[in-house]
Amino acid sequence: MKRIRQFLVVVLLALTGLVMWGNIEVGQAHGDTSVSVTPISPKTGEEVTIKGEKLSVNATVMIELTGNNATINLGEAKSDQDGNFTSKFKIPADMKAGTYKLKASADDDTATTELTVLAGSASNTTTASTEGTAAPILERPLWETILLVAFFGVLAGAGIFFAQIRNRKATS
Amino acid sequence: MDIINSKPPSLETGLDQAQLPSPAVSRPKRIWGWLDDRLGLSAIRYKVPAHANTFWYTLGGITFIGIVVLAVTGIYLAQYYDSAPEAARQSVIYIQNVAPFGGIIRGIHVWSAYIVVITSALHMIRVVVTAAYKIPREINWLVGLALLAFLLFVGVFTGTILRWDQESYEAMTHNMLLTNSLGGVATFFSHDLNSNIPMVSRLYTVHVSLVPLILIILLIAHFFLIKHHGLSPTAAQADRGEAPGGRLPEDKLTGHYPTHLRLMVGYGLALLGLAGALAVFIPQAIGPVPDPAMEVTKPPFVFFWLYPFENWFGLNGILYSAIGLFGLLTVLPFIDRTPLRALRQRKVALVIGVVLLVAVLAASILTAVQPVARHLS
Repeated sequence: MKRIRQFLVVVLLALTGLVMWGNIEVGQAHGDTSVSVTPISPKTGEEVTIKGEKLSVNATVMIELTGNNATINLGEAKSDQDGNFTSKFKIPADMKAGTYKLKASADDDTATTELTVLAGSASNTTTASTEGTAAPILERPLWETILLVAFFGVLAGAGIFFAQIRNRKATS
Repeated sequence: MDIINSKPPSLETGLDQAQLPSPAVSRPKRIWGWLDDRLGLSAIRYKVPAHANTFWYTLGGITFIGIVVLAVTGIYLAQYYDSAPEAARQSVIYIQNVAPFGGIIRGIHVWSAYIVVITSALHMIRVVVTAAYKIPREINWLVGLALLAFLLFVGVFTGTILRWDQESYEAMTHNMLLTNSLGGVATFFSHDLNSNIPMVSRLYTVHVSLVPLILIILLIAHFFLIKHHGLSPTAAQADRGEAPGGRLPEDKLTGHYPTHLRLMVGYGLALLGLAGALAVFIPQAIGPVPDPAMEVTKPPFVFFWLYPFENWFGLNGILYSAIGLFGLLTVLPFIDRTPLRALRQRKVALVIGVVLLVAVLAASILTAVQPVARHLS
């Protein structure tokens, strides 16, 4: 039974890791630096808008895609005094369809995100449509996040404590 | 003898205990007594086996608490959700970003759904390991399987569609194609029943009415049978002959049900805390407006195990794998005929269980690492 318990704990941890890893979010990276792409699923030959934030200030940002055993250099952009940039790039028409990691690197800063390239030629309308993007999730202020985590942490702790209380007297 | 007006006992008088006045009853005890007389609360103070009051035997109760959390958070979400196709996604965005505590409650609802599927699967694994599906609990095993299947394939699935984003649209397309494959059996979930009402609205009605109704009926049956048969013996107890007919005698029931309830509530609160923390750290995304020409998403991770079969066998691969898994689990009590309950003595159950568990995990990991595949025409 002990081995089975250990095995199930390992399974639970693996599943938790699976959730964290396999969950593909909107093309936004977490952390201080970030890069996003619109649309998140462009076709080959289509133009995409890549937006980076909080990278190195006034630096040349290299944009490349990695995946499917290939590294494709999309080009360069220039970050402003806040480390932000917005630039348009074209997905090569002969690129293989699939999921790629997009990397924006400037001096010591790097931001990554994922996008899925679809097969097929792009239409004449190359402007990225807002309908193709995921809905923005409102970011919480840090104090609110801390308060909520503390609340749910206390709730979980109280629950486990309540479950673990030993009966002091036998019920009749 | 007037007991109330009698004097306190003394050594000289030698009054016996029956003649002594009763000690004063505290207010909480009087309130409890009043409630107990009218509600029969003492009836829950029955005995259970000591092993009932361990975490592994409380998983079923934890799952139940999770379902209650789903119902409560779902009622809140229903106040803001609009099931009309043109408004559904916007209403979910409103819930996430504008409605008071909407993002947190939506997150708790979704994460609780995933956690409940996991805890019910763990509960099922515990039942298999301890052979609790054996006589006289075979029917209750089938009720439990029906609960898991309904939770996953109707509850979680219809919930995924309600967001009405790209992932929801692809899920709906799977639904339409699968109901076509199943023909008359699945008419209720198809356009054939009524094409005047949008499918997303009809599946919303299923999600908020049929799902709770069927779950309640199945849960009542499940709880009744558990109470009727009593909690199953451990494998060791059964193999030592201490549980004739799969039932433990009175002298082996050394635990108490209120303790079991306390474990359920305590661990249930922990489940709620976990769901809340996950809702804060990993908020549920809302994908883009559906594009019928695209297929760019994977299902929620609780359905990952179906994906490779769809890759290999097409859309019907989903049916083959689901029927295969639940079919094997259904016949398990009837295949495993050995009178012994220790897992090592039940080679058939051990092989089936390990094969299914490894298959589900391997298929899920494969789906997580491979890119999105196109299945829909």
